[in-house]
Amino acid sequence: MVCSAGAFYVALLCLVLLIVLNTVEIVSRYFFHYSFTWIQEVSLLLVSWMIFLGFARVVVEKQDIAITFFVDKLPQKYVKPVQLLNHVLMFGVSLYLCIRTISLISIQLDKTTEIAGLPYTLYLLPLAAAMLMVVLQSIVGAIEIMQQWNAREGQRSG
Amino acid sequence: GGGTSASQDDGGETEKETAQPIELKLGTKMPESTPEGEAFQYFADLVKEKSGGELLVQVYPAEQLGKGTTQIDNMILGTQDMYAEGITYFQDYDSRTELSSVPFLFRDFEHYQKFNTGEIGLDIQETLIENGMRILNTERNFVRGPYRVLLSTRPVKSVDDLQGLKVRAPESAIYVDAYKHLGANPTVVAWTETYLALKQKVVEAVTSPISLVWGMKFSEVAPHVTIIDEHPQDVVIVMSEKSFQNLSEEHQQILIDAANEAGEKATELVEEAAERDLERMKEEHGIQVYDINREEWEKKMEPFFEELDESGQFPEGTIEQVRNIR
Amino acid sequence: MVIGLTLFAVFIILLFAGLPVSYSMALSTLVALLMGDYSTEILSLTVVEGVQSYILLAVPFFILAGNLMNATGITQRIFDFSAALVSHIRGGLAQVNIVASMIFSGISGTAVGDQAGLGAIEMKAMMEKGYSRSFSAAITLASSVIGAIIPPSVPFVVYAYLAEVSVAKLFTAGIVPGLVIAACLMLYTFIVSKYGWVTVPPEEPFEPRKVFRTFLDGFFALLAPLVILGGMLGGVVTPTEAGLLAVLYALFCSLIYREFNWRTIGGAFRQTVLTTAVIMFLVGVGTSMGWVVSAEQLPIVMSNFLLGLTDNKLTMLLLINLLLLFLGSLMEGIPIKLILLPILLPIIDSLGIDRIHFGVVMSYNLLIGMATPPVGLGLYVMSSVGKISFEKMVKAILPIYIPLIAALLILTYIPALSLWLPQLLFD
Ligand code: NA
Ligand code: NA
Repeated sequence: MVCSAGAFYVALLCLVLLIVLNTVEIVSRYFFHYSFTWIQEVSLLLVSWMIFLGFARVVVEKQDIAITFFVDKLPQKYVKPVQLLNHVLMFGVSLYLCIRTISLISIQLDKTTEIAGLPYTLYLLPLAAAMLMVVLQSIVGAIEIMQQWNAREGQRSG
Repeated sequence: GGGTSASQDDGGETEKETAQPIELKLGTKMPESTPEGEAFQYFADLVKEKSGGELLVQVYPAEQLGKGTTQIDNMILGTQDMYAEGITYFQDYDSRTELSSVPFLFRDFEHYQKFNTGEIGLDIQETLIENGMRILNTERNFVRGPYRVLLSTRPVKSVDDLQGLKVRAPESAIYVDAYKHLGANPTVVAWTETYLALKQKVVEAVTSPISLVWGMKFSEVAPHVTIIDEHPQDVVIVMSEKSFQNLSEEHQQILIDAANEAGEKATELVEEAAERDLERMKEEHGIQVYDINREEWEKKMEPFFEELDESGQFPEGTIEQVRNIR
Repeated sequence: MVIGLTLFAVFIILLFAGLPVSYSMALSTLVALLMGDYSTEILSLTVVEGVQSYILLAVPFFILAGNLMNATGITQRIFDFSAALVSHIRGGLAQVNIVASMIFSGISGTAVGDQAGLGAIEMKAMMEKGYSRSFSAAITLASSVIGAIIPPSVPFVVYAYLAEVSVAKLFTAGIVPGLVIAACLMLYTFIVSKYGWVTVPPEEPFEPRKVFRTFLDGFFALLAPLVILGGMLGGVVTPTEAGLLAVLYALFCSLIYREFNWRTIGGAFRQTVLTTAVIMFLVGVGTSMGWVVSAEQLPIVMSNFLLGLTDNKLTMLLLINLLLLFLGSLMEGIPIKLILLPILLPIIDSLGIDRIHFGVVMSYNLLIGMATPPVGLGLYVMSSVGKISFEKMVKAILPIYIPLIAALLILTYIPALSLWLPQLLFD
């Protein structure tokens, strides 16, 4: 999916920036006895974006940890319905979480971090974005399963 | 959420009051076994006693309900009823709460208490109420600490000794700026890593309320203890205004009285504990204790106060007003 | 209590139905929040705040360090040196497998990093020499556990964050236990090879010149653990920055060895973001789940129950170990820590068990869970890396629980193994 691919590049960029910023901090502290006090807050912001945008990609690439052991043991005719149900649940949870996050953002617009004064909203935003992407992905996943299902039904009757 | 509403039967007995007590969740940071933790339990017991069991305060110690900011959000969202911590946690709602952590702004705890219960303090209380939170301990007598110390690997007796000293800093812009102004070199280090940082000379000094020093073993690696008490601290027991207004006036008064009495008790407990700790540190870590000439440090801070007053961080003239409280 | 039980029931059902672990936790938490009439914004709030810790910043760094070692061929050098060093011992390459994991562990922070990178090299070498696929895969999986015990270690970072102990201290506490686990595995391999319970090809003669040559070839790679630990214990860097140091050092090695290649390094970054996202999202959602557990006062109920069973330190440790082994077979280590630590910490504190010692025991116990069906992530990874079916993988690992559990008991009941080094260095 295009949007999660784009988001993933942002996540990668965050990792690179994390490395650069913290390297600057070590060098500066060790050689120049100067500590950039805002680097920790900015680092945590970058972590937030890296994790949540990265997670959207994890879902697309199906790399999240799931226990398929029991589902695989089910009789064939139950497997697809259970998988479909899982996509519906992911859709529901992500949509709900996305809406709640936005409502949380709306009541925390004035909140800022202690040193750099970054808006707290910036920390919440990537979660809302990631959940939106998972919503889209679970629709795509559900459609795929239904297509496979129809194809098999078609074969059987044909 | 917090207050379980008394459920009523469908039958004709609607008039009859159900004996269901009202449960209130109080989240705190300190563990149960600390003097502060004991004071919170004392508060809960008092409330139960005074209300004849109609109000039950359940204490959740040791950040069980999340970090400070999370717990404040919980109160606003109505998920928890009370949170007890330092007032600076509320700076998102009123920037003046941060005044309490400006080093050397207050002469002593009495000055600080007068500020809290005076004009500005009451105004802060109003702002918090507008934001859905109410300070219960109106007397602001819940002493934390009871005083602050600077622990260092070398003696710090005057401002001169502070020059270039690598001081562990918490994540607070004012703290960092103030210590830079005093000539120190503040470095942000996580609280739990401070002991090692001191041992390995990543930092050379740390400031802390005396109550936390023994537990963190700081005096073992930084045996020079300067009583600087650069900013007095207190703990506020804050309640969600919504939960507060759901209670009868009688119950409201019970909470306020109990909170103030708990503050007195806490002060007693922390003072006892501090003396005990100091003795142990002298015996086991061989610490040296120094006092400071407060005027010297306050004088050095003058330009900083002026800058701060002009920075627009606080309403104009606030710093001056605070300093003039007698 | 009802809400708490519902929380876990819903969680287990969803988990077994194949919903990702993170979503099973999120949905069961949501159900509990709605049942308890809590505001559901708390879920978003705790997910975001759960990952806002400067200490946890070490996690991506230590994962990246391992991935970079794998991507730039440094892992191969570590393996070659290990091969020259111990392939003359009975059990040959199986012993090499264990020693290589031990050395690799000095720079990588996760067991999965060991399985996916070093594991592939070890599997290939063992298969070529005629070891059975199942034994090779099993010993690779078992030894990968060491990767997260000898510092740096991601599970230790998470524990230190939750139990509020010093990361650096916990890291040092892991060194000796890592060696103990390796010794147990090597002894096991020696015995099963000697008595022919596992058919292994004859061991190879010891060649000092080969040891010397591979040592020179891998010199900078072998130096890595010293640089990282030294940096941290010498006070140059904080534990979080030690992770960064590991990353920079891995990049430095790739330049020295002329293995720097934008494509493979890009791949290492890519995999790091994905792995970190999986782990940290679990941390976030686990924080939410832990929040409900606390708010419903389950910690007090549970710890009163446990303390009611016994107040003997040794028996309690046994009970906790059994509980953790059971839960570890059903859940990932991180959520278990998030949910259980609020319950366990007061217990171990009251019985006078050291938090650092307990961190080693708990983390290692949960790492065994990674190799335990049905929910052993390591089993899934190794069955894919080793091209072996899940069932065969499970069967192959069974006998190796003997040395793994033996090491667990040793580490549980001899606290000095964990505490001696940190006490020596820090006290
Ligand atoms: Na191995
Ligand atoms: Na390691």
